[in-house]
Amino acid sequence: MSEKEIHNPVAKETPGVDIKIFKHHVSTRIMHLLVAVGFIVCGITGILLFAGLDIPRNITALIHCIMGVVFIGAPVVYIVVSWKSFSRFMDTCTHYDKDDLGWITAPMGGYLDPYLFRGKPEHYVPPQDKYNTGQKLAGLCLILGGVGLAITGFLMWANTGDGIFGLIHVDMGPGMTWFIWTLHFVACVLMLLVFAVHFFLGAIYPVTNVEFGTMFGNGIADYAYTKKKHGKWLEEMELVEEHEVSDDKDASSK
Amino acid sequence: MSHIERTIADPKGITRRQAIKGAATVVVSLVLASGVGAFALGTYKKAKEYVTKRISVLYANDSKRALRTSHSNPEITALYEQYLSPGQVLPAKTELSHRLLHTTYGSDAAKQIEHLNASSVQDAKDETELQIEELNAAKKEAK
Repeated sequence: MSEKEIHNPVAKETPGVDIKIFKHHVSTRIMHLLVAVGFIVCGITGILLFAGLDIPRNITALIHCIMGVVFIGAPVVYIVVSWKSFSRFMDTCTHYDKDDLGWITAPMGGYLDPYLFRGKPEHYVPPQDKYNTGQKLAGLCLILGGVGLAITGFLMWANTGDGIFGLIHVDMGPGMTWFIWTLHFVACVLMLLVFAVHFFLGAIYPVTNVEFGTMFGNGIADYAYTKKKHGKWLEEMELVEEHEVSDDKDASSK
Repeated sequence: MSHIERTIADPKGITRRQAIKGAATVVVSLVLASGVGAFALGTYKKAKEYVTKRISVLYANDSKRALRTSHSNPEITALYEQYLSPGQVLPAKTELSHRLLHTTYGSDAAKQIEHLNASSVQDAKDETELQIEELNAAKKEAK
């Protein structure tokens, strides 16, 4: 990874100034937590149901459906509550330029360098936005997969037995049920693959697992890490607040 | 001694492009959801209409036939009387009719093949004769 020279005066390293980067708003973190819990529970119950194990199927299916509502409902509420953050996220995820091409040819942001080009000098990785190219592509996959799962899951639930708590009942017939079921399965496989990579890089891989603390902690990202990995984003950032802190007070708070 | 603590974040406002992309995502998702839902329900409705029409045509054709059921077909009753259950009409009751007319599917097929290989048609005929004799004796007793 190659560091970018920062020109934004508020994001530029200055002696005597401790810069804190507020990366994830509280609404984003709550939404992410609910989505993560919903997805993991849905994934586990879905695999149990798919495997046809000897389990109480009705209860498992009900848990799967309710957590599916959490999984889809949280982003829907987030879109309404944090419209600006969502729009910004969508803009980032759908904007690609030569830096993204550079990230892919690096290869894959340099993550594959140690495996494909062992012992050779590291590739140049162009500065990245708030999310790098891989994260942007994953974001698009998650949105597409999430919408797919929401539509097919709703139809599957409404098509089973009395429908959704007897309130909404949709009769689709065997052929369409099979088609919708297959779409749900394909979306699930896509989501599980993206989730596996996302979880590995965000929570396990030593170079990037600092992101886990940011998302599940106070939303503050490390300056050095951000400058190294998301230099382009630093150019767009604005000042939120600035105040003088006594070093004695700072040391005691630590 | 002191230092400055500065917090920076995304700009507070959003650009027109960001707003359009956010709105487009919501609109596309809703259109997609409505489209798939309408397609699923519409396709089933059409299929159901076709099946309903097909059923009515089959019933209409059937009602015009002289012979509408197998048990009223003289050729079938003759087959039972003369061969499958000699002297009587006993569908699905004799070993011969069971052997020659019945079959199994899926995982039960292997058992059926084993059963057929273990005995011959003549065995089934002999067993059928015994069954008929027992049946006739029971009838006589009842009288």
